[in-house]
Amino acid sequence: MSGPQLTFIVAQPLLVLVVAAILIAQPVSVERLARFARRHAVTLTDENRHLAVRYLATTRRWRTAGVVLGIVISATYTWWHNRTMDWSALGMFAGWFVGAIIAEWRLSLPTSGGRRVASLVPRRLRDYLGPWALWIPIGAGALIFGLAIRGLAEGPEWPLVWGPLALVATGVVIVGVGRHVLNRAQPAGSRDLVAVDDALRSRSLHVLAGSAVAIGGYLASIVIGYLAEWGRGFDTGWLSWWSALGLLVCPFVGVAIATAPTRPRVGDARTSVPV
Amino acid sequence: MNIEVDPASPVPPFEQIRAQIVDLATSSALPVGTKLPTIRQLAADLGLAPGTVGRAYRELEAAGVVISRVRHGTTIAPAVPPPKAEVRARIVDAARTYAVAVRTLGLSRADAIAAFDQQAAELPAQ
Repeated sequence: MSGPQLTFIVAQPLLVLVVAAILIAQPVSVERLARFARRHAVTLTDENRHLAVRYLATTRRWRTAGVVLGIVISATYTWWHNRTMDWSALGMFAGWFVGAIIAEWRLSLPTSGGRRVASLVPRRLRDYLGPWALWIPIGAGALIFGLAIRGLAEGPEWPLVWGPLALVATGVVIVGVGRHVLNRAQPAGSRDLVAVDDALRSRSLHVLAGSAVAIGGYLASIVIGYLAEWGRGFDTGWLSWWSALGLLVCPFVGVAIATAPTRPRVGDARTSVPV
Repeated sequence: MNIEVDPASPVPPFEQIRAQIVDLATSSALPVGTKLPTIRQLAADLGLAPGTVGRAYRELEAAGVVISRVRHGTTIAPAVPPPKAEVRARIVDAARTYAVAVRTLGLSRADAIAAFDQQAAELPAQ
């Protein structure tokens, strides 16, 4: 191995780590807060701004860490197998989603004051997520199971077993974190405070739905790609095309769902402010 | 619609929750069929252990105030009218308590009736 090659191999992960450290250390900018308020149609005040700042800072920290980890793991993998220093965009996306899920799980927002007040309005998933954000992951899951069952009928193949199992494991984790987000304590305070709390909860659930779409779609694409190579009664050309399309599109659809403007809660939830 | 728990009160938190939901249900502020939050949500918002809220919900269910069903959650149950004898005993008891309060405070009969009428008028319509 030549000197410049070795320098490049060492410098690349170091550069990624330095950039990540700079990003993580930066405070949440005013522009970013304004963009958040615009996207979620909420008014940021002195009372509720700290919630948004805490959320944005925590999620950026974990998502950036996830991206870095994704790049480092994919670069290590390619180095191990091909002796080339390269990283995949897929690894970067996967890292972002894993970091996002961990951030939602770990996030703890302060509930102001010592008062113990609670609204009697239930918080439900469908109040925050549109039907598409619920049905796309379910559709991807149904597709992967259908294909795996049909494939297994032709013969036992290991990828047709671990694909659906990985999907179930991912689903369990995401549903668990989703329930955790729904049950996150609502702060007692003014209407503005509850509005921002609702917006953050909505954002969190959209991120989880986007993660489910990206990871579920990716697993479905792998199973489809495997069936395309395997043949055995499957239309290989058609499946190859769908697999490639899925691998390319799913991460972007996931990010689009995760970062889409969210809608306020419906019904009387907004009016039942704990005051 | 909110409920509040006072940690400094000698009344246990589960009893505070139970009593407030009973009040809201009997005054129709929580109409029949209204879905209540999950035990975990209410416990998180009130900063209590889920078991505390669970106990309040269990007692409400045992008293017929709420119905808990798997996958449907906990909803306010239709009010079951108590037997006539019990109704009479309860109203006599409540009237006696009120009469004692009126006498202790030195109010006139007219003031007592006016206060009763005012409270009755402020209750939500059934």
